[in-house]
Formats: sequence, C-alpha cells, structure tokens
Amino acid sequence: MSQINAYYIQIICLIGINIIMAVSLNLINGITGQFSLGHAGFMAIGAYTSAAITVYGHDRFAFLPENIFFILALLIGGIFSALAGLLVGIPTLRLRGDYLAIATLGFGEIIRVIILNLDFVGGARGFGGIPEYANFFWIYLLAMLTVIVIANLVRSIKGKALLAIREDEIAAESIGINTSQYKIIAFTVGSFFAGIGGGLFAHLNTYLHTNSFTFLKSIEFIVMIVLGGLGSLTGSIFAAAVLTLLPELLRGIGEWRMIVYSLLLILMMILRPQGILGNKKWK
Amino acid sequence: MEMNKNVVGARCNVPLLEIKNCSLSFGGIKALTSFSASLHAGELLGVIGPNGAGKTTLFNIMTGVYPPDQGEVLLEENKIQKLLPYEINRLGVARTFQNIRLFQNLSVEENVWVAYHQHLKSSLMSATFRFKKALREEEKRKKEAEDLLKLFGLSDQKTSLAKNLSYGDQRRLEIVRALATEPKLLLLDEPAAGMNLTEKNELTTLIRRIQSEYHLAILLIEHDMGVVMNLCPRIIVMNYGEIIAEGNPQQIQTHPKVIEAYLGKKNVTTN
Amino acid sequence: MSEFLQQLVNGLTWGSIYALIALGYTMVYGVLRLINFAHGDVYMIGAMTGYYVARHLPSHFSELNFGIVLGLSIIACALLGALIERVAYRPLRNAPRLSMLITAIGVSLFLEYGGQLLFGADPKFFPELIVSRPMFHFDGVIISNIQFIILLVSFILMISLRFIVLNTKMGKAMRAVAFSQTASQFVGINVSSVITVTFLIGSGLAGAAGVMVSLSNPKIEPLMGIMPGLKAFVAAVLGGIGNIPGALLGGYLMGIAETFVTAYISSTYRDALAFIILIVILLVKPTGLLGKTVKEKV
Repeated sequence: MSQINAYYIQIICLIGINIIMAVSLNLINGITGQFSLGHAGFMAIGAYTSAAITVYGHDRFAFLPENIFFILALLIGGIFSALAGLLVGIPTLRLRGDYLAIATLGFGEIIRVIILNLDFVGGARGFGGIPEYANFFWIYLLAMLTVIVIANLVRSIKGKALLAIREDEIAAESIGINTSQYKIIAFTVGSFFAGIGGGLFAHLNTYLHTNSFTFLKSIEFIVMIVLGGLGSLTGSIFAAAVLTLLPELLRGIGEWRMIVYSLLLILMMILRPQGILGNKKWK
Repeated sequence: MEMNKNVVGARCNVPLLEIKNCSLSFGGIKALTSFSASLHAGELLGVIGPNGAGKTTLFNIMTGVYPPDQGEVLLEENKIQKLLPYEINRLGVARTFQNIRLFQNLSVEENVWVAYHQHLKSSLMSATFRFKKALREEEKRKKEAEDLLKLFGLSDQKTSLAKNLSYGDQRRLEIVRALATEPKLLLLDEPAAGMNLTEKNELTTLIRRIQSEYHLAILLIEHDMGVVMNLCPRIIVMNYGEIIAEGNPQQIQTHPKVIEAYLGKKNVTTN
Repeated sequence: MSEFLQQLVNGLTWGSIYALIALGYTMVYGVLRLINFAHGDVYMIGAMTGYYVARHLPSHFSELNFGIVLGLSIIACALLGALIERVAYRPLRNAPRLSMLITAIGVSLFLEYGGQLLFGADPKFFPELIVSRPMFHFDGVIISNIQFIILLVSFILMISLRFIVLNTKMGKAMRAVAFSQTASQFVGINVSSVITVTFLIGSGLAGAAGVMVSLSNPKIEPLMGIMPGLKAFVAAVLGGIGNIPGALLGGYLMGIAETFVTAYISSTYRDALAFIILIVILLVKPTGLLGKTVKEKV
C-alpha cells in the first residue's frame, strides 16, 4: 500500500517540477515570443550543478542545516542556469523565428554533450548518490514562488514590454523599449527557474543521466505550453499536470505508449492548434 | 501629461530637427539622394510624393531603422542617425507606421501603458516584487493613460483587444500610443490610408488638436492631397528619393515639377 | 597526401548521403517554411523498405537487385512523404507555424516508435546486395565499388533534380511557390499540387539515401534516422535553408568535415561537430553560405 502511495507522491512531485519548467519556458516563448527549443539544457545545468554541490560539498558544509544547504545548492544551480541563459541569449539576439529555434536547439544539445563528457558528474554512466532533499513541500513551495514571480512580472507595466516584443518588435522599439535588454531578461529569468526545476528534479530522482535532458525533453515542455496556450500561465500549470499524468496513465499499454502520445500530439495540433486555454496567436 | 510648453520661445531659430544631405541605397536602388530639410518646434510639415518616392525611407532613417549611407540627422543639434530606434524614441521622436503596428493581442489600455515604459523610474524587479513605490508609480501612469484615452474617445473600448478595433480607431490608438511616449517630434506615416471622408476629417481635426495642445512638431507623410493641403502650412514634395519642390499648398499645387511627377509631362490644368 | 585524398573520397561519399537528405529539408522549407522533423525518419523507412524487399529477392544478379531495391524504396518513401503531407501538414496550412512544427515532431515520434513496434527495436542487418571490393585504385587511394555507386547514383539523382527544377513547368512552379505562395496562386499555380510534388521528390531522395547508406553500414534500426537527419538538417542550414544548391554544398561540406574530424582529431567529437557548425553559422551568417538576407519591410 505504501508503495502505491510513494508512486503517486512521486508523480505529484514530478507535476510540480514540470509546472516550474512549463511556466519558465512560457515566459521565454509564450510571453516574449522568443522561440526557444533548448530549455532542457538549462534544466540540466541546474540539475547537475546543484547535485554536484550536495554530493561533493556534503561534508565540507555539514555545519549548515540540511534545508539551508539544499536551498543554497538550488540557488547556485539556478544562477548557473541563468548565466547559461545569458550566454545563449546574447549571441542569438538578432535571430528570428526558425533561426532562433534552431540555435537554441543547438545550444541545448551542446550543453548536454559537454556535461556528458564531464567525468566528475558521472559522464556516460550517470550521476548517482544524490541526496533525496526534494519533497512535496519544497517542490510546491518553489513552484508557487515561480508562478507568482512570473505572473507579477507580466502584470507590471515594465513587464508588459515583454508582451510588446512578442506582438511587434519594431513597434516596441519605436516606443522606447530596449528589446535586446528585455529579450535577455526573459532568457535569464526563464533559465534561472529552469535551473531551479532541474535542481529539484535531481534531488527527487537521486540519479541523473544526460539522456533525460535531450532535445526530446525540450519538446515535452514546448508541448506543455502549446497545449495550455502560449502566454497563458494557468494553461501551463494545467497542461503540465495533464502531460505528466498522461505517460503514466498510458504505462499500461507498454510499447504503444509513445505511439499514442505522438498521435495525440498530431491530433491536438490539427484540431485545436491554439491549445486548450490559449487565445493568443503565435505566428 | 506635461509636454514641452517652454523651450520653444528662446530657441526658436534653432531647428528641432535637421536632416543634412542624407542618402541611402538598397542594392542598386537609390531610395534617398542628398535629402536635406529642417523642422522647428511646433511646426507641421507635410511630405508628399508618388509611391516609391522615398518617404517612408526618410522616416526610417530618422527613427534609426536604417542608418543613412551618407549624411546626418540632428535632433536638437545631437546626431541621431546611428542610434538605435529605442534610443531615438527616448530622445523625443515618436512615430506611427504605414501598416498599423499595434500590439494586437493586448488591450487598448495596455497598448498605452507600455508606452509609459521609459518614463517609469522604478526597476523591473521592484515592480515584480510589488514594492509600494513601484505600484504607486504604475497607478499614476495608468490614470494618465485613462485620461489620454478619454481625450481621444477611446476609453469606452479600453479593455477591448487592439485587433478588434475598427480601422479608424486603430489608427487613432497608434497615434495615442505614440503621444504617450511624450515626444517632441511626431512622425505620422500615411495616417489617412484606407479612411473614408468622415474619418479623414476627424483625423485632420485630431492632428490640428494635437499640434495646438501639445505644441509638437509634426512631420506628416500622406498620399491624400486633400488632407495635406488642408493641414500643412509647409509641404515638401519628393520623387525618386529627392526633393523636387518645397513651399506652401498654393505654391505646391501650381509647381510644374509636382504636376509632372503626379500627372506626367502634359499640359494639364489644376483646380 | 594519399591519406588525405582517401579521406576526401570517404567524405564525399558521406557528403552525398547528407546532401540527398538535406535536399528534402531545404525543398520543404522553401515551399512551406516548415522544418520537417520527420524527414530523417523517412530516410530510415527507406532503409527498412529496402531491407524487406531485398530479403525477398533471389540472391543472384546483385547489381540488378540493388536497382530494384533502390527503385522500390524511392517510390515507397515518396508516397510516404506525400501521405504525411496530406494527412498531417495540409490541415495546418493556415495555422501558426509552431503548430506545424509540433505536428512534424509528432509524426517523427510516430515513425520512430511505430517503427520499433512494427520492425522490432533490435537492429537488423541489411543483406549484402553488393559485395564490397576496390574499384579504382591509384596512388594509394582506393574507391570501392559501393562508394562509386553511391557517388554515381547521387550524382544522377541530383542532375535529375536540377533538370526538373530548372527545365520543367513543375520546377518553375516549385520555385514560384517557394518565393511566394500568394503570388503563385494569383498566376494560377495549384499550390497544393506543387507542395505534394515537393514532398514526393524530397522524400524519395531520402529513401534513396537510406538504401545506399545500408550498403556500407548494414546495421539498421528504427531510430537510425535521428542523427543523420539532424546532421543533414544542419547541412541544409549551412548551405542556406530553402536554397537547393546550398543543400548540396552544405551536405558535402558536412560529410567532408565529419570525415576529417574523425580521422585527424577524434571520433568522440564527431556528433558534436554538427552542432558546433550549426551555432557558428547561425551566429555568423544565419541565412547560410548561399542564402540571401531578406530585410523586413518597415
């Protein structure tokens, strides 16, 4: 019985993490209109950084209470991801649409390959022995914080500059918005939270392998924000929950799982391309 | 909204805007050739010319969309031709676009709110974490936006999405949004395009009103002769990237080169 | 020197494969502005089709067998491509581009996992239709018969494509649609037919690539299209996405670069090379080597 409970709790925790991932991606793609296909890369950086800290720094920082240590590790993971977001955001400033998408895809893969070649975080064997610090409380606390911060950001007048950039970059510039600065802010903040999500993932799973952070993972997050409606934060939350549950519900059909998933993707796009809660068009 | 009510008197002889010998080519096409003009504070200048004469290119080099190959653009004696569009706007130049560029999926009031962006002193972070000072500043600007919309008859529709507005209202909103940035110079790119007679008359009244109430310099590109002749005391006529005539409406209407440009080389009487 | 030339030959051979796949990406992007994520999996289907056809042929007359296998795979893949376009992409003709992109990803996943279900996830071994032996030998450089066939068949296919695009009415229509769908409609071009033909040709070429690669790399499996697909895509971007000669240039450059990096530097970085090339070209000249920069009209 407790085994089943543990399984459900794991799923619920995963939903919480995916909410963070979807909302942070929505900030970049749905709200600012920057088509990023490399979100898994930022997640990976946060995951591996925080895990490396808790695994290798465990003894050195034993004087810290466990909770503080964990939060610090998460924060540092988030900061490293944010730096990566900066490093990706700056050179890609002048790219539009498809080109930006391809570039971010490339960056995401390069990040993954680099991590794969770092032996001290396990390399091809994977990184195990991560302490299980993440639990329902931490995950949902941080998920709520993420949603509140991003929602407030977009509510503010200054934050609406991001929406303006999505709607019409040239017009945004014409009313004095430094679009480059804001695009970078979107990338940096979005990847910061992706890093937090990654750190939580690492400390929930207790094991990391770069195979969890491929281009396919980035696509999963894209599907979440499209299903929920680009630009809609509530939609992202809902979709994150649904799309985390879906593979689990389909687990019973074994090999057919991915086939059904892919067919659902196709059908969803053909029947309702703007997503369930979305009403904002993305060209 | 406080606008430049003061500076005009003392520095009347120094032009607000000066375009000096600007040229720009796209590949082999000379869009602008040695174009020079100046505009004083509070002046209303019209620019007309056949399609492809270089009018929008002129706007684009003034607003930093493209840098000119040669020449300078001076705003209050500062060189702006190499600045970025957002920097130029912050120095006081606002524009509207030939093909309306509103933030379609934002509401009418949101379109105006965003225009106050550069004047908000609190940072993005303080706004995100809802510090009192930031919130108060936002409230103040939202009130100003409300007043502005009321002034221009758009406040009933303030929560409607911009894309759902009528064509005439959209054009008006674009102008309001430009005004919200508190410019010294307003560039209007074919604001009467696609309008019927009633709408054109309303537009003419609107522009006159803006000019008198805000003491703005206005540079107007227009195709519609009626609007331009009615509105602008001074008109520049362009063709093939060059100025072919300059003067008041009477002078322009009877200028042989202007007639030739529009109607071809023939003996035609104008009314 | 002979080592260098040998690697060059190897690079050109691989380059042919990448170029054939890249052509499909570039042509579809040209007419639909869609990055057809499923294209690499069509290449896989080509290999799989070839496998099943080859297994049912008598084992004599190996060159003829190869011809039959190649022909049938090309046809099967062409039809598959057209089917995908009709079923998955055409309904989204007026939807936001992101939707079509996600659908393409869905189709790709469907082909991959459906393939695993249908063919089994374990690798299969392509029958040896042509026994590899050296064909040309000079100065220490060996060109095997398989390499020669790949280069020759690719060349023939590319010349045929060039003829179609430059000299036929359909080719002109394809170029028109790539330039502007709206304008094409105004001059009476049936845009839907043109798009279908584009998919037919592009997918057929991918199928050919799938069969030919199996001659020298007989281990095939349902996920084999992912990496080559990605690399061919990068090759198309390198040459200028939407630009047909660009796809050829990009494909050959990619093949040669990969071969030389593997030979002279290290094989562990072979896969990363494609992404490095991708980032560099996007930061330096995103429109690609042969692409033209189009300025947005303000």
